[in-house]
Amino acid sequence: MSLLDQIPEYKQAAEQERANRELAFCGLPIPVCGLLSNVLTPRLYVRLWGCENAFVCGRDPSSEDIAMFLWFISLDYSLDAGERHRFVKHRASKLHTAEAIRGIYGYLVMCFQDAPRGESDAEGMQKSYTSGIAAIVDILAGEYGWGDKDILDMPLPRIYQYLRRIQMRRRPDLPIINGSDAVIGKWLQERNTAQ
Amino acid sequence: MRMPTVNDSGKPFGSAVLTINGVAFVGENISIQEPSSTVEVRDEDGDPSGQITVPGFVTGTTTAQFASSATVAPTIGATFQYTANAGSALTYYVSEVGQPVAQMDVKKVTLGFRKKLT
Repeated sequence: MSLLDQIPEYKQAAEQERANRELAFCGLPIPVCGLLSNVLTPRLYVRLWGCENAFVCGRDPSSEDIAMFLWFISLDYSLDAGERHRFVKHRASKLHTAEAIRGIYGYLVMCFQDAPRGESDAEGMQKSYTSGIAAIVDILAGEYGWGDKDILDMPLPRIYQYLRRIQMRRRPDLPIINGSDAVIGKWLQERNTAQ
Repeated sequence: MRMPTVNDSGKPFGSAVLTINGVAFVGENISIQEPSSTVEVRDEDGDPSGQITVPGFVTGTTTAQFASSATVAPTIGATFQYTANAGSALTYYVSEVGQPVAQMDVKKVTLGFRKKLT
């Protein structure tokens, strides 16, 4: 009997992960809170971070954070203040706050599904010498010869899968962890407790 | 890990629940090698005239996932049983322990193992 048969929740989680990975390559916009949006790229992420948007800075999001997040990832995004005002007034402000927050967090979970998780030191902070984006560009440019413009505009779910492939080739001895593995861990805990 | 020709429904390939010292863990990508050595015999013209093949030491590798990041990785010498290819359960011992990787509450480590002979 396979693990999928023994742990139905794992089957569901693993299939969702697999679907997200395939969809990352279809190159189409995705609906977020009912609005067609771009998949997060390093450039979009840096813009959101630069504006101190709560969804990437780890604060509790306000209505303004929701509207600005959706505007930055919107297919209609531009530097035109009038366009932004119309987007906020006619689309973002009409959303139910709790549902919008859930929708954006779901989008972020999808975008960061295969992201490497860094280890922090004892103080909980990791010393930084370059931007994390520079590290991504450095690895992909060095490995595949791509230019930084292409990498900065590449959807994060694709970037993280390429980084995994590179790690699998360079360090095949190093295990890779999926989010769905947490379901197996929980199942193992219950099994070990019952024994 | 051998690549499956067909993987219907995305089933994890080569995974099994293993138990060491009463603690269950999941072994992913289980790969077992059963090598052999062959003695080749040739006649006076150098043509093959006989051969003897004897089984070698059975070894394997797996990526072990533990119940939580707090679970202690097995030590070298720890034994477990595994049934491969619908045969009978064989006893193996851990011969190599790789660098553990932990994220959130998930912990994995690559293990090398060998079939116990006695």
